[in-house]
This record gives sequence, structure tokens and C-alpha cells, in this order.
Amino acid sequence: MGGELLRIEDLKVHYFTSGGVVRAVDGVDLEVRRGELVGLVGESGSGKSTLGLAIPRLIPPPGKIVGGRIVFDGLDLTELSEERMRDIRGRRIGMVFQDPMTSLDPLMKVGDQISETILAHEDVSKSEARARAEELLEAVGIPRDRYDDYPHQFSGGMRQRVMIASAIALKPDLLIADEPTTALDVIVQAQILHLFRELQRSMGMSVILITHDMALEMQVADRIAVMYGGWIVEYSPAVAMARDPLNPYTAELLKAIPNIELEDQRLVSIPGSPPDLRAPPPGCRFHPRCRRRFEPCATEEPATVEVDGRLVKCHLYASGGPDSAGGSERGEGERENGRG
Amino acid sequence: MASLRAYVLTRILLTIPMIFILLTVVFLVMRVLPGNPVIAMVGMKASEEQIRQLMHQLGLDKPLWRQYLDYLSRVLRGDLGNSMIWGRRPVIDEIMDHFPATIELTISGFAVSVLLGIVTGTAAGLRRGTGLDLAMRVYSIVVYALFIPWLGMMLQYVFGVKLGWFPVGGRIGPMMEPEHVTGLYVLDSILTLNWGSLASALRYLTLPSLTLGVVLSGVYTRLVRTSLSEVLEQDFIRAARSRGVSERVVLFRHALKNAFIPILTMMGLQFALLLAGAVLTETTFSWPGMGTFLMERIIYRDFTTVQGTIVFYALFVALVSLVVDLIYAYIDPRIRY
Repeated sequence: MGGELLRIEDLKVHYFTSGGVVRAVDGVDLEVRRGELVGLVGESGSGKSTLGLAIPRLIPPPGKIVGGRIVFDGLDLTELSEERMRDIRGRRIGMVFQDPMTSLDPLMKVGDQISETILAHEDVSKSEARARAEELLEAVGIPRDRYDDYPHQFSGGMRQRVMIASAIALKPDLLIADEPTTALDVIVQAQILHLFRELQRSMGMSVILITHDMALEMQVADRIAVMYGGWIVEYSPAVAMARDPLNPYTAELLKAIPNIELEDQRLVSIPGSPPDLRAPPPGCRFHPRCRRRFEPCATEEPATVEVDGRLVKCHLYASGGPDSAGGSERGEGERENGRG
Repeated sequence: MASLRAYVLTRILLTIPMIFILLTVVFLVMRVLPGNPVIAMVGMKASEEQIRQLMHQLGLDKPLWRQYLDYLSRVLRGDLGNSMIWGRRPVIDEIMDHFPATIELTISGFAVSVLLGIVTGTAAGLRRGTGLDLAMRVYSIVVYALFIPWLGMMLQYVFGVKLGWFPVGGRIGPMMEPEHVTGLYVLDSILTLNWGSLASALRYLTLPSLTLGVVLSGVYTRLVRTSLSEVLEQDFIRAARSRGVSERVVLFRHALKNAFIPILTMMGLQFALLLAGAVLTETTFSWPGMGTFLMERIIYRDFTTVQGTIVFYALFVALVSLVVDLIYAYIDPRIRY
């Protein structure tokens, strides 16, 4: 694992809607190392997709980055001109989106949508771009003679492979994948994830994999950031998180993963619903649903603290908490979870 | 491509019943109208004998069903018959004399309407919710509601009479006609390198095509605006941006091309309206095309010529809509016949 590639500091992304300001990302810190696969999990509306789009500055209006820094390989992306940002998109940061059925231009040959990335950044001939795109098609497992096909002639899994080929065409340092397998069936999901891992290892890319699927993250991610209500509430290595979740919300998420080995198991859900980000609850945003809340939770925003090299945003770990040692009773994590 | 041939063939066969129904309706309507070509030609003062003789010559003394069957069998053999008034020239020759003028006006009116529609619609679609958007929407409603002869007369008054920039009627200046190649003056002038004629033809063409184009552009403004703003919210637009392509490429290669599909459908549908609008424009600007010609022949109750012209119009509209369908299939790979 290499040094730092991306460091997000106190990032705030708000949507200015007629119904009020939606604080989709509200003070997020995240660091991604070179060659690392970081999982970003959370329920719908937790701000994870917004965070993913904010990095290459693709937030659609009425959304806006209102504060913080996104330092990518030493450059603060929030300060770059649109022109320089465009040079980074596709070349140094690639993106794969959720719905492969709608993410390809229906009127453009699939191969041309891969060449497009190359031609946008390199001064090469069309035939050379085509040759490289054909190689990329093969690299993602599609015969090169399908270059001239149109998206409607491809299945969902194949389209997602095309999207991936187009995102990795210029060997970006960072690949952001927003729910890349959600729209696919389970078998194809596994194939695509396998492809991700393979490409990531062979190219030494860093990947941010955004999904609501905790079990999936547990299988592939090196580190996992858990988002809730526009915050990252825990950022830990996947193994440590599975064994011993720090934040009560992480623990609840892990409990919600069905385990095939346990017989007669009921599906567990977290009572309550995610916060309304136009008017988030005061104090900790998770406190209305938290089983372990105590008196500062409803009034004070918890600070992000480091515990054994892991980051957690929870009053339980703040100095002066009920047991600042980190909770002898972190029992929820003892259950064998996730992996396998 | 065998299926394409089958499709084209089916479409052509389908026009046959359409033409048949249209022809029957026009035949009957013309007969129901008071008057006939003989009275129109010789006037009320002609003697009974003279009228009877002419009626006989034109076959108008036969029973109606007989006239109808005669006419039908002639059309089936591809013969539109002869005009019923002076000269009695073949109807097809008369049509061909006037058709190029109409095509010239229609094409330029069409170009003006699509161009205006795309520019105003794109401006509105890219800046939704702004003052510019509102202005473009008002434009589209106002021009759509305009009456062609009224707009034509306003333009004639301002740019013809007051400013004197453009002629108020006719198709080309006296003695300026280019050598006949296609019958389209603009094209013929270019083909024969006759720049004087070209300038004159364009000057005469400006006001009529503006009149026709502006009125028909409103529909495109609205359609381009809606279609473009829908396409701009599609995932593949975001995906294209994530590849680092420029906004210009996003707009032209991805957004407008996709937004163009419903617009193309509208172009096919609007074509009939365009021809109808051309009739009004032609009469306003004394444009010597099919519209002016048709109006004149309706007044003279020139049965065969009116029937023939309408059949010709119908065939033409059917042909254009077939061509639009084929273009559609060419642009959108999802559509195959």
C-alpha cells in the first residue's frame, strides 16, 4: 500500500432546493492511499453518492461544494479551474455509475464511448484510439469485434464492463465506482467485482467503491468508511470493523447482514429512519435511533477521534464519555460477521 | 436489409388506399361546389348550345358515377388527365411548372423554422428557469399563434415598403431567371454560376421564407427545450462529463443528437403543415408556386387539375414521411425495420 493519494478535509456539499438546504455531505474527512480499495457504505440518502460525485466535481445543480478541501495528489481540486478539472476527469480520476442501462449513450457505438476517454485527453489518431479501445474491451472480457455494437445490443453486465473499460482507459490513479453492481443480478455482480479487484491489483489503482451493501464491502474493501446523515461515522480497516465495530451504527449495519450459517435467523433492521438532511437532528445525527445514546448525544455534535488507528465519530469514544476506554461492552462486534 | 425492403414496400402499398379515399373525397367536394369549369370560362352570357358543347367535350354531361370511374381508371394508369380550362394542358405539366417554386419556398421555410427552433430551444433548454428561458417560451407561443398572411403583410410593410430592403412579391427580378436545370432558382443560379440571379433569387426568397419559418419555428422551440433538458439529465451525459470531454462535445455529440430524435418525428409530422403554410405564404407574396396555382384553379372549378394537384401533394407528403422514417432508423440504432 503506497502513500496518500486523496485527502478530503471538512468537505461540505449542500443542495439548495426550493424545500430548503439539503446538507448531503456535511463536514467529511477521508483519506485514500495509493493502491487501496476504500468502501463507502451507507443507507440511501446518507450522502455517499454525493461524496463520490464531489471528488471529480460533478455535483449537479442545485448542489454545490460549500466548504472544505479535496486534495488529490497534492492538488486542491476545489480550487482548480473548470478547464484543469476536466483534464483530471477521465485521465486521473475515472468513474463508473450505478445504472449501466442508462449510463451509455444509446446512439453511440460502445467502442467509441471507450475511445472518447482517450481522445478527450491524448493527441492520438482515431484509429489508434480504436485499437486501444479494442484492447480495453478484451481486458474487461468482451470480444474486440463488438466495438461497433450499440448499447442496446449488450446485456447489463456487458454494459457495465464497457463503462469500466471507458473509466480505466487512461489508467487513472483513482477509480470511483458508485453502486456499480446494484443494478446487476448476483452472478454478474460477482463477476464485475472480481474484474474490479483484478484490474485494481494489476494497475495499482486506488478505488472508492460506493454501495449500500455492507456484506459486499466486507468481501472486497481494504478499509471501509461508514456514512450516516452526511457524516462519516467510522473509518476502519474492513477486518477490524467486522470483528469489532466502533460506532453503534456500524454495529447495527453489521447485524443487518443476513448470515446463512445461522438457522432460523430473522432479518434485522434498524428502527427509525435516516435523518432529514434539510433539518438534521441536533447533536449526533444518529442519536434518535441509537441504542447506546447518553446525555451529550442529543445536544453536542461528536468529534471524530482516533482509536487504535481507526477513526470514529461518536460520543462513546470522546474523552469523558461513560467509558472512554472504548467500551468494554462493544459486544455487538463479537458476533462473527460478514466475511465468507 | 431484406426487412427494410419489405418495410418500404409495405409503406408504399399503404399509400394506395389513402390516395383512393382522398381522391374520392376531392372528386365529390369539387362536384358539390356550385359552378363548373365551363361557366367559369365562358361566363353566364354564353348560349345554351355553346355550354352544352363544351360540357360534352369535357365529358361533364355523363352521369357522375361514369365520370368518377373514367377518372379513376385513368389515374390507375398513371394519367392525371388534362386541365379543363384554357389550353387544356396535361395536369402533370401544369404541376411541374409550379412545383419547383413551392419546393424552394418549402425548403427554405423549413430551414428557417428548424434553425430558429434549435437555436431558441437550445438557449432555453440550457438555461432553464431563467429569464431567457421564459422569453423563449413566450416567443414559441406567440409565433405559433401568428396568422401567416398577417405576419407576411407586416414584413412586407416594414422591410418592403418602409425600408425597401426586400421585394414584396414575386420570385425573382425581371429578366433575372437563371437557365433551367432543376427549376429551383437558387440551386440553378449556383449550378450555372450566375451570381446576379442568385442574389436576386435570395432577395425575393427572404421575406416569404421568414414568414413561413417563423410561424412554424415555435413548435420546435418548445420541443427542443423539453427534449434537450430531459437528455441533459440523463446518466450518460454525466458519464461523458466524467470522461473529461468538453462541454461543447457533451452538448453536440451527446445531448443534441439524442434530443434530436423526437424533433425528427415532429419534422415529419410538420411537413404537411409546412405545405399548407406555403399555400398561404404563396398567396400573400404572389409566389408563383403550387399554392397560388391551386387557389386559382379552385376558383375556376378546374376539376381535373385540383384533383391531380391534391393527389400529387398527398404522394409527396407520404414520400417525405417515409424518408423521415428511414432517417430515423439511420440515426437511432435501436430502430430497425
